[in-house]
Amino acid sequence: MSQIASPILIFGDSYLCKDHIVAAKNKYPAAKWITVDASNDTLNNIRMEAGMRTWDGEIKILLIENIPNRKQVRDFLIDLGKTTPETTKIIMWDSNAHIKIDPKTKTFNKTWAVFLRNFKKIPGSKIVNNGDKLTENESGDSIDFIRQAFAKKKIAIEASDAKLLTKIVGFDRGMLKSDIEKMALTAPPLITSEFIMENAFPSSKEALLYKMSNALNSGSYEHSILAIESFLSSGFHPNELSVVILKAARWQLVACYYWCNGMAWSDIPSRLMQMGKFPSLTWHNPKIDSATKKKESENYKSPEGILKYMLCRNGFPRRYFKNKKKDNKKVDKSVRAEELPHPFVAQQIVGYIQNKIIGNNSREGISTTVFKQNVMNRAVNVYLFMHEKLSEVRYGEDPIQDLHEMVRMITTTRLDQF
Amino acid sequence: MKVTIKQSVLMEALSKGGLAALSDTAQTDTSNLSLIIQSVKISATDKFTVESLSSMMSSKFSVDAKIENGIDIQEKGTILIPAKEFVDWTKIQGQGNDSTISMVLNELPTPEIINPLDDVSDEDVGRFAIKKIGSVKFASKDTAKTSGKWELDSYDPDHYKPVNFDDKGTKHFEVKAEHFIDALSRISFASVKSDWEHYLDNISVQAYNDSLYLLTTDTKRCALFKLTTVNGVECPDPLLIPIPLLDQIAKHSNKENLLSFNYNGTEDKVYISQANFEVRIVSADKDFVTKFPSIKMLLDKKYTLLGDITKAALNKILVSASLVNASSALFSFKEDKNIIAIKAISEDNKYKPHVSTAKASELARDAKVIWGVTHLIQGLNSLNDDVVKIYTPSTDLGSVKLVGAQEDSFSYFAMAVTNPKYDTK
Repeated sequence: MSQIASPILIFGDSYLCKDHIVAAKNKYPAAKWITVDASNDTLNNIRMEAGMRTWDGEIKILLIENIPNRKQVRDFLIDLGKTTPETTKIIMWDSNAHIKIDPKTKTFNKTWAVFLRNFKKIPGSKIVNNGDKLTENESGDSIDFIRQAFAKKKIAIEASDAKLLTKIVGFDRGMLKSDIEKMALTAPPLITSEFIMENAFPSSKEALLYKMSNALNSGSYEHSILAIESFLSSGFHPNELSVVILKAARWQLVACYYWCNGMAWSDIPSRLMQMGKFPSLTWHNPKIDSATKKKESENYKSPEGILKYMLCRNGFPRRYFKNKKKDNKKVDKSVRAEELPHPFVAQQIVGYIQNKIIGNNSREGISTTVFKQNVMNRAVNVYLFMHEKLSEVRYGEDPIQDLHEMVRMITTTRLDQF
Repeated sequence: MKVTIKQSVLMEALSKGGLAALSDTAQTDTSNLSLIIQSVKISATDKFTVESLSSMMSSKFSVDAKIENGIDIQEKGTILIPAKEFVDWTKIQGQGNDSTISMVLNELPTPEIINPLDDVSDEDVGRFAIKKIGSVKFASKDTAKTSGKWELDSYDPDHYKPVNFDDKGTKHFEVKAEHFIDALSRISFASVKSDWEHYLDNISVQAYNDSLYLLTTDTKRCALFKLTTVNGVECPDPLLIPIPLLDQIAKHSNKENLLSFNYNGTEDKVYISQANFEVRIVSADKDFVTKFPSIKMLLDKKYTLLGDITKAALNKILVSASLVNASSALFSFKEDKNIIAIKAISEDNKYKPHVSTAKASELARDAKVIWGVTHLIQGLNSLNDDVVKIYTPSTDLGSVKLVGAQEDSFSYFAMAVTNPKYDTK
């Protein structure tokens, strides 16, 4: 027991911090664990708890949490770490997440950097940094986290699949770790997108889109209805589900259009991924590579950028545009053009058109042109039906029945039924 | 069932026999069987019996069904009715007047099945279904000719799993209830109010050198009480009994009568009985019994007298010190001047360091030691003596022992504190 380092400072992601503390409690069950609250307990009391031995002579572990952002408390904790007797081990947990890395300077914030420096000087001290909360902007961190977590279980995962996992599960380290541990029990040596779609627990906002699209693209009515029932029982509103089905029908329509225009199956997924990306002239230019496309489009993302594009690249006269005063309202992301969330979804749509629709319908006795017309006819009819049903789900009397009809329509693959 | 009973007799029977059903554990139960757990079983045969059962305790009150005991049974039978509702109604019947309550069970032709939860699967319906056998009509009448009527559902009494109070295990001791209640009230402060491991909120009963001791601790201090008027001490192993349950039993026991304690080791249960009143309560796991300090360790350790001081004087300087630092202060004993000085320094520098002194009589030696101020104030409050004797271990200053100058049944031990703010040299 005496080999426990003291004092220990734990900070970073709250889930992993809790995980460390629970692991320590399980490792040292015989120790007397005392938890004090540095914001609400008096410093006198914390000093007393640290300095008082137990009757049975057992090692006491003092867990100090809820540390406030106050210099007096920081100085007290450094002093406590230096002067506490051997019989008491100190664990300080920054449960309020004061210690974090400034995203601009990539260093610890100034106030707490001094605290960390002083803490490191205490003989026998140990610092456990569990990393900052994962975010969508720092996607590299989340991908590294997922790959490392799988690697510990001797399982490999591609970066794109790790990204897919974050899309379904979200960026909470605790949720990710829990899902990874669950998936590792049955995962193959190399994780596939299909495996993630089947096994990841949907806890992010985008999970509905992925999971529902996955069910619809299987082409199975029963499978899709089960997915609908499952989402409804999880608390999703029929409106949300109907929007996802409409999106799937729209993507199918676009994919069919590309194929009917003679595009190769292999090219369609990348074209689908460019849907809704501005400026279209850049994104649909086959002569420039995707990195350049991304770089060039950066300049046109803001309203000012769009105006510049219209004036300079398209040659619209300035008088066509009103001078509107700037307001500080945030741009609503939901009104942006629709984009496919992940290449895996594009692959699934193309696979569905290629195998379930083109592959399942006989071309005997009809010309290629007529066949293509039939394919487009189905895609347009399905899309228009979905549009009609969207309003019925919202304003009709039986939204569940409407959802079932939408699923029935989108999973109908025989062209002669349209 | 048809019974007429005096309100005072019924209230005593319900408060004692319904102790388990009226406990917080039972009343906050949300399981499928909560209706049963929150109910009392009332049996009217040759005896009038009230029983209840929860996960922590079961209680039973039984009295001969005789007119001279205030009970008239016209028709024998058994009912299982909600305890709290019945007690609340009975309590207000004939307040101040001698009231009589009659109970009549109207049985249904066929029992009605009640499913307390909607989401119980078909296969579990049989397991969790609760049968309503009828309704019990109550009527009260008092000398002021005020009457009241009420009705409660009665569930099938077979749902109640009876506790065998005949198999109580070995008898440990008997003590006068008044003495036990006094001991409990004086030492329970040193326990942990709510311990997640469920052993520091217990009282430890240990025998040593033919005497019986009660002990509480929160690992930083111990309060010890020697039971003097105790009969038949046969306490081979220490017992741990939850204090909140003991408090309830103490509240409802007759102070003049003996309380008898038995322990059944195979089922880890403690049985406490007094005349018509019997209670079975859970004991802490055996593993935790050894975690409690042993009486032997406390009593065999040699403590030498440091000095004595009046309780009032010591309390005064402790309270002054606690205003600056209630958790720890430096106690200086000066033999040549017979003075005890307490220096308190605030950790957050909110107050200036404070020193208060008091005259002691005949200090044995000089000493400087840091003790918990609140710990000593609480220990002092439990001492029934005007003069306090302060002892420290012969070999070190690692703890302190407080006892009264006259009364030796209560002693209090507290650990010393290490605090670098104070100079103990």
